[in-house]
Amino acid sequence: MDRDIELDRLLDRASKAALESLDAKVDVHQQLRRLLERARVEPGQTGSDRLGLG
Amino acid sequence: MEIKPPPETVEQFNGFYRSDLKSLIWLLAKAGATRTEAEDVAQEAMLVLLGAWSSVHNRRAFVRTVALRGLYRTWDSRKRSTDAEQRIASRKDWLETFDANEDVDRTLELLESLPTAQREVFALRIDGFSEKEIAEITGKKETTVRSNLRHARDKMKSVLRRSTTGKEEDHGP
Repeated sequence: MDRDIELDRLLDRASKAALESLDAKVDVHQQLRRLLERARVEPGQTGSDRLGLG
Repeated sequence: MEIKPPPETVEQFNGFYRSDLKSLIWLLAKAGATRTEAEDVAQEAMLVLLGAWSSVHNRRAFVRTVALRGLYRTWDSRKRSTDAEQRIASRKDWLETFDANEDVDRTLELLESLPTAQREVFALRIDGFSEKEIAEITGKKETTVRSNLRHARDKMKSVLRRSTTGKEEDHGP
């Protein structure tokens, strides 16, 4: 098999597998909540007073 | 750090974060980060993006610029631990996360064989960024990016061939 094609297919398979694994292993919702807490913004908040803008 | 973005910004950011975080962590893995480094650096970069949200045009590129610089700062603080031994340790660190997937392990192994500059641009290329975007993200000239990509590809093909035939191709300097 052409080495370029072999490499491209490997990289493509690896990226798909890695992102699927990360789907299962990384709790995005929790990470986002932590980040917003650090930024003092809570998920779902829309009022400027709750964002400290009032 | 306190950021007070308007609600519409928070809503847009939430969507961006949810769709891009894992891709950003995967990029940092390819760049040689451990899982802890990748998650910490990605989080910091996202926080910077949130603070700069309305002034940033290409957010995917921006957050990657910040993240890669953050990763290198982390390494610098530990005397730039980018040697082969460190990268192999990083790969082992990811094995559980990626369920010891052979393709992922092979890809990280191939990337380990590259110098930092080539690994960085090739990792971004794998993620679909154009040469122009990679130049913007890394602060390099497009000609340098093209050269890095060419050498990286040749090197990886060579290592790939060596692993299957026991012989390394001659791909120049």
